[in-house]
Amino acid sequence: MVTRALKLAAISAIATMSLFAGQYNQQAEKDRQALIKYFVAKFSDPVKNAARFFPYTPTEELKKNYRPVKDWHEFAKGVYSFAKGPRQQYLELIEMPPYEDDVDDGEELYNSTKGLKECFPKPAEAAVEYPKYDTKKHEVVTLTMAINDCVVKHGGKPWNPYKGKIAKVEAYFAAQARDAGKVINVKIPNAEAEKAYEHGKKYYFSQRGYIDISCANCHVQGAGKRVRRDYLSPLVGQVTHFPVYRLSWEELGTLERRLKGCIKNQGQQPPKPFSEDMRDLIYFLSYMSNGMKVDGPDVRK
Amino acid sequence: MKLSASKLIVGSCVALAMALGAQAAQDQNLVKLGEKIFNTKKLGNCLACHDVNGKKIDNPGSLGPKLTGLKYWDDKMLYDTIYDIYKARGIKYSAMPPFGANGWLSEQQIKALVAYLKTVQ
Amino acid sequence: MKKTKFLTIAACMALAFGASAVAGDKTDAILKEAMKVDVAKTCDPQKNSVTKLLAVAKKYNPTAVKLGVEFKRLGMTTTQYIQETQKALKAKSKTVTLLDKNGKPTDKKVSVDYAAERACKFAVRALQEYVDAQTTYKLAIPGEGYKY
Repeated sequence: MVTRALKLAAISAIATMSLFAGQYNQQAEKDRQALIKYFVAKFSDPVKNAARFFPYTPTEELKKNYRPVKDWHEFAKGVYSFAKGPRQQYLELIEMPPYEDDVDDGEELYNSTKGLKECFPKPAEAAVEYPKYDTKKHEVVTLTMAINDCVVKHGGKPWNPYKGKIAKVEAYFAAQARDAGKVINVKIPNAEAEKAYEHGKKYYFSQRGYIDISCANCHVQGAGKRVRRDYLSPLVGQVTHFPVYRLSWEELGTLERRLKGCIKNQGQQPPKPFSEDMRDLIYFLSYMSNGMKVDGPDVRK
Repeated sequence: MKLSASKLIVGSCVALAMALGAQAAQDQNLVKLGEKIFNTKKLGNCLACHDVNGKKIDNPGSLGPKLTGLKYWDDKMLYDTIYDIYKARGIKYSAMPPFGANGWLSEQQIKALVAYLKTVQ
Repeated sequence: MKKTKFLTIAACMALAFGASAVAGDKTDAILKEAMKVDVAKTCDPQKNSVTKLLAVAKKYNPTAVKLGVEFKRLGMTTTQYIQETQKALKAKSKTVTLLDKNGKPTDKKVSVDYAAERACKFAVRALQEYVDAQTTYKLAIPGEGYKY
């Protein structure tokens, strides 16, 4: 009788747990869906919705320079999804992608660097396995961190987290993932992971620095508008195309590099590449691009 | 007697004209300084977000409104808005920096900006 | 207005306490004090000596550094503004030489008053922004009720 009751209790406990297994990403899903809805509402007809979303942009500019975006997957292209002129330049540029040698170099490094083949047995998977919440280490592990840790664990010296070898290996992983049609699918497995997600989200939306602005001021409310001549990209789709070949760098750079540069430009002190702030920020950013295909490496201004 | 009185009047007028001229020159300098602060990246960099009605601005951004009719604004309101828009407007989230409160622009620099913005139609 | 301000500060403090739990109790005390400062009055070089302004800056900036929110403008941090202003005071100079992003002196000079005011405002405002952000960050999130 007692054993039967215990069995029942155990079964219902397990059932309840599995029922709630997905609960940790509830708010994250809400956030992601709400952002997609916002950006589609914003960009699907800029001219018609000017008063609501582009109150300070002259009508002629909206008519002449903006391309309507109705499918949220297109936001992977950032400003090239909605800004006609820059899009044209981008399409011409990628006829001869400047990162192809880097992808080849990355493959060579993957094959020759001690540990990488063991740590990342399936290159196409590596690009979408990270960032992930490591439930044993109790922290977010980013791709850059995973590669670096792997190299060091197998006797190598740490790699520069912003450019060079790490960017090339990431380029190889991204290209493999792109060819295999891999989709970003960040998970939030437990309460700790949910906390990390919320921490990254808080970083993104908190105003700071002598300018007193947040990432969101430009990439949510400001998305689609211009600072001087530069259009601002929307939050959804911001991580799909890394590592990125930036024309201003004349080389590849990791997501950590771009975040550091942008945060610095806004008069703020950027978090260190493997700090909790940086890793949780990347975790949040990546979740916001869930459902989008990997399309790195790519070119940006 | 008539001659010295008229000399006095002429003298006063000249002095007044010179004083007004000096003041006008000072005002003009302040306006010019304000314009420089508005348009220089390492100073106010206001053009990053704002176009200005009736002025030739080099590639102004579209994050903020095109500044229009500011000549009709109260000087203090203009100053307070630039000093700390959060306090001036009772808002909580904005892309516009509190230039004065945050020590970005000095009192003198904001006064110069106000002088420049008061010329905006 | 005062009551609202008090309640807002209290709410912010409650959240900031959670956020700075790792940093410790001293942080909360400093944040609480920073929220009471009116920078227009406290950091005014016309009404306060440069020494006093630097004292305010030195009081609040270490916490800003600890929380990762120290201001940095055109390559110069609040810490550097404090250091360079102190140097100028010691040398009885009326100007402070600005440093570049590598910490090397540039040819740009500002008055000691200007540098001290900036050091003071930078230090206090970094903390005020930090406390405000604990509550205001949600205002911009569509998934948390941002209306458009």
